[in-house]
Amino acid sequence: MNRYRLGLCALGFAGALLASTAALAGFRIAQQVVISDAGRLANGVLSYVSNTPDTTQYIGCYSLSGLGICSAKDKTGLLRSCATSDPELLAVIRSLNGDSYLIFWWDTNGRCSNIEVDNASYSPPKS
Amino acid sequence: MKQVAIVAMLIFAAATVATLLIQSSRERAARFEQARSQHEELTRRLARLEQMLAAMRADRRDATHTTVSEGLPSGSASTRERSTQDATAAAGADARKIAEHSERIQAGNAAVDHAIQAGRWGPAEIAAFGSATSGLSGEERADIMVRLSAAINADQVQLDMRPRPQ
Repeated sequence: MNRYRLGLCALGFAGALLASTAALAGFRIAQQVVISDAGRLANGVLSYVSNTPDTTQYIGCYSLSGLGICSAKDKTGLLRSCATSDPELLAVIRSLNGDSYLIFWWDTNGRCSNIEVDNASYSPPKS
Repeated sequence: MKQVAIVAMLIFAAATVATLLIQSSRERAARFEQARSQHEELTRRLARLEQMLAAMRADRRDATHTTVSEGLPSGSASTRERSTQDATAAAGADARKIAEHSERIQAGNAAVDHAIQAGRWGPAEIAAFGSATSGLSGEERADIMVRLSAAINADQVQLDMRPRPQ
């Protein structure tokens, strides 16, 4: 989990450095949807993705009666998804809000191997 | 004299044969009568058995519609019969539940198969999947959905959340 936290922070800062467009009130990260097939992960800030003008990318999860599904599509149209019934991962999914930073990993069978959510002040608010 | 003796012997032989034939006929008649009486007795017994069976069936029907009486001895035939019926009914209900459960899993897999074949997963498919798999555990649903995720990750299926034109 610590490794993932470090990865999360690194990705957050990388996103802030590479993709940030504005930092008007306090430190903000702006992470569009980034998918890595090599790492079998997808991540992005929900509010930032929602606020982008392009209508292609999205990222999010939903849970339904003990089933959780996460999916992400980057601006090139690459789509990745995973499903889980793990109670801990379902709890993480339920902690998502519209401004969350989300990162999820999947295995070769399409099952979510990990999901992390970061709810912090540096996520831009959803407009 | 010799001829008279021969005739007498023939008459005697004929009489003997006739006597034997009559006796044989009487024995057959007696055996037939005995068989007939046995048949009638068996028929009567069968009728009695059928009556007893009908009475037992009537008792069983009554027991089905009767609540358990508190004063009934614990080992009574009626209670045992009711327990057997309850067990049979429970086994039938379990079998129905298992069959329905199996049908839901099949329907969920069919929805995913359909999406993979169509290369599309959208609101209609999600609704169909949710409806087909209602009652399944999250783990069972996830076991089905990971197939879809694997297909998505292999670029075989696209998510299309736009409502389909009517």
